[in-house]
Amino acid sequence: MTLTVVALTLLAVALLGPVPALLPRARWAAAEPRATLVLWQAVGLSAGLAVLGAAAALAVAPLSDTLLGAFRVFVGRVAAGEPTGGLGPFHSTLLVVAVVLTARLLGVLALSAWRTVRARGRHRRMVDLVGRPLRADAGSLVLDHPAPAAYCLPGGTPRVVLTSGAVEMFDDEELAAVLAHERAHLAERHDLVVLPFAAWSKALPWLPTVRRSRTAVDRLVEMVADDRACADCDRTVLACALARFGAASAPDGALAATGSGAVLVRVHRLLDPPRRSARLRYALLSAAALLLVLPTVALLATNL
Amino acid sequence: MARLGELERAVMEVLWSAPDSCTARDIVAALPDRELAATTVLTVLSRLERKDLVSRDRDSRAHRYRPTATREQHAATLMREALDTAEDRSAALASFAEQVSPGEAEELAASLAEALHRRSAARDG
Repeated sequence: MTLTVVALTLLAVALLGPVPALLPRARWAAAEPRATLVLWQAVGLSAGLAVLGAAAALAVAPLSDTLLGAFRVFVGRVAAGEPTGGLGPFHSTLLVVAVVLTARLLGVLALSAWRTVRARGRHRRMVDLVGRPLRADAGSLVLDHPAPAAYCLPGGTPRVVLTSGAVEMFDDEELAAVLAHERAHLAERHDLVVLPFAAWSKALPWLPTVRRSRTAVDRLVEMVADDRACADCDRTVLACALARFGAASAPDGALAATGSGAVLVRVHRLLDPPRRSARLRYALLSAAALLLVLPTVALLATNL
Repeated sequence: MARLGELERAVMEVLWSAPDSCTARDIVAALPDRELAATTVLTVLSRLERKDLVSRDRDSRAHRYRPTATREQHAATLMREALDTAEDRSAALASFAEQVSPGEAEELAASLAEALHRRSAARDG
């Protein structure tokens, strides 16, 4: 049991420290962004499982030989009127901590999801009122604003929104490419992919690793949308659109130059796409599966 | 419900293009094809008032309505909200919106030239 707890703790430390620090630097991520995204999701989930699972296992260890058995005993005792289930102060505290932490993480996620849906609904209703349909594509809306921008509102009633500045800047092919990119985000439901990372990076600001994961995920999500858009448009055209947009983006004087270089990376990637690799894809997906299976099996199979 | 939203839009269009405040009857007259009753327009106007999109001039006997902000001001607010990176970017997923440093902008201009060159080469080739 101690071995399991130690192993899980080491796993958690690795997944919360060096892995999120090193993973964004991996060059191969650009070749298989979707699979890398899955790996990121597995890293996050596995870290949570390892930390909370280890804490819970340690907490109920005195009650039985297996984790499930211990929980059954605990629940039985609590139901019978023993509030601490026969656990001493250290173990009960640990259990409370584990439960509270889990509840907090899930609560933050739920709250964030709810807030996002509401904000999006409000925004969409305003955009529907204020925006005009795009001539080239009646499903998309145009906001009268000189600064070029394009974004999408994901969810049940999705929208693609551009500014008039953007429409003026792009030629017809480029505009089509931009629309394809935004629609790719909607089709891939990137709002759901990004949500947990956004929610937890806000909830755990003192853990730099979560912020780093979020940045990495944001970048990968753009790459996936770029790739998917290129099924409907030419890579060079999308590269033109992106480069044109970036070159025209005058940085706000006060917020001088906080660019991350991500746009340039995307343009280069579109112009010189990395070679896809099925082997890499399978390796990443297997790693993701392993990250989830290992702590689960360890927790359920181990002898406390 | 969808029809009401569409009506709100039409009413706002009238208010935005009007040089000054309008009465409900002005709006009815401005949308002849819809053959609206003044009461319908008043309902829509009160909804828009509740949403803070329209304000009422109370000094005249016939209530006159005007938009609380121009279309452009609303657009600017929406843009800021969508692209606000300080927030968790809740509402929108913005991929053509990122802040770009001057150095990066220069390199992007160079990349653009390269990309355009490739495009025309592909077209001519």
